[in-house]
Amino acid sequence: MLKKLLKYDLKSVFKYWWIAAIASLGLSAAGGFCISVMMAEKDVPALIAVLIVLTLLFSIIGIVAFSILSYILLYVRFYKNFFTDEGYLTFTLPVKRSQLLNSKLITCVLTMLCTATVIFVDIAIMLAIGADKSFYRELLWALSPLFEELLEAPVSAWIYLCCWGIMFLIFLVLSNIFSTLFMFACITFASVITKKQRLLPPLVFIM
Amino acid sequence: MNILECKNLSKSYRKGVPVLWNLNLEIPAGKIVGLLGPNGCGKSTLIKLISGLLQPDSGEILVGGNPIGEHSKALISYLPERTYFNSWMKVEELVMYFEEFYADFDTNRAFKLLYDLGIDPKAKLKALSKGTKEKVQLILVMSRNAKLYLLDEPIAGVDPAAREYILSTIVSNYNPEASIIITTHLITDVEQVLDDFVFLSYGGKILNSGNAEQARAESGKTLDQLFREVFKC
Repeated sequence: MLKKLLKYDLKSVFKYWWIAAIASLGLSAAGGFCISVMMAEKDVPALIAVLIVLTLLFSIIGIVAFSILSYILLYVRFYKNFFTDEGYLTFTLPVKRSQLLNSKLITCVLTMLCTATVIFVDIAIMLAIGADKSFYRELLWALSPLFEELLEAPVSAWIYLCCWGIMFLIFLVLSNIFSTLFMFACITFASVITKKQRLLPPLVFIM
Repeated sequence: MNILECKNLSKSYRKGVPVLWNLNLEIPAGKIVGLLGPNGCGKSTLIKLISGLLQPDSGEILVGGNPIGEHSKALISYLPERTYFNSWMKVEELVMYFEEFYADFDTNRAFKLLYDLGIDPKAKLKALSKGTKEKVQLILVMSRNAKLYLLDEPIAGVDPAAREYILSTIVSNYNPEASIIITTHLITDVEQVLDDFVFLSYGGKILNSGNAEQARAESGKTLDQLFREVFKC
């Protein structure tokens, strides 16, 4: 039953998420183009420069808005499923209560991982389009001492580094889980206090 | 065998104001039972306790011998007094949703009923009128071969022609080995389909109950008239 709950939770969230993800990728491409124009052209008319900067600003805001939208989609899904009339359907399904919560939790973790991946791709697209060859040359030159040290390091250092990398990933996933559970707790707490103020749950979470 | 047993059931929403108090109720299998009472007497509360939406303060509920939980919910088909859809779905997606979660769901019957009512399965739920949504909800509930059907005010707020349709759908599509509990205060429309009745008063007191036909024969009155006598203001 958990798989079925997960299927419909993911369907509900990703129905709108993927549209926002594509928009975010488009905005990052636009932002990358603006960066490339700014770096290539030295003498740009003032109006064009303003437009370029505004477009770049808008694309960065759009990417940030995409990550916030992911949280909003998850919040709305949890709230509607548990605290509105949809709860009549949710709580009369022949499933365990723990399965209802676990499904929401797994959906949140997967959505945030996908969101993080898309944002990473956004930054990569911006750099790929916007940065010219000299940027990459300078970046490689700045990082080359680090690479040389790593290559000369003993195997134990590599193992140590890998362990830290794995721990970092585990910490990332765990922090995602805990922040999701905290969001659920805030929504539940605020909904118990009042059913009238729909803005109270996200405010409690933000505070 | 009783499909439903409520033993010393109590529930209150505010301290000192019980909605249900030590209610004892048994519903045998294969009966259509009218749970009748004035507004605010605890009919919907009782239905919600049986369906697992609320937790009782004390007492026990058994459905098919199972306490309220995962197994009892698989036996119960519940129609609440309000629409409860995921509004982002289409009608056919909701039918598939019910098919996936309920092993006793008859998909062919559901699509047949939708076709009979002229409801497009590909229509989005949020585009449907209130009355059509209620009909879709009723079709989904009655397309299950459940052991216990809980219908909370199924004909409230609908026109007389629609009421007749709803009642005929209920009678012609339910599992005959199952029981139906219908809560309503529109008794005249419903009493023709009832086998048994329960008059529920404030605090969850059962003032009268029994076979509907027998009650009419003994008193020479309709259930509606009996109700008005018992609950006279």
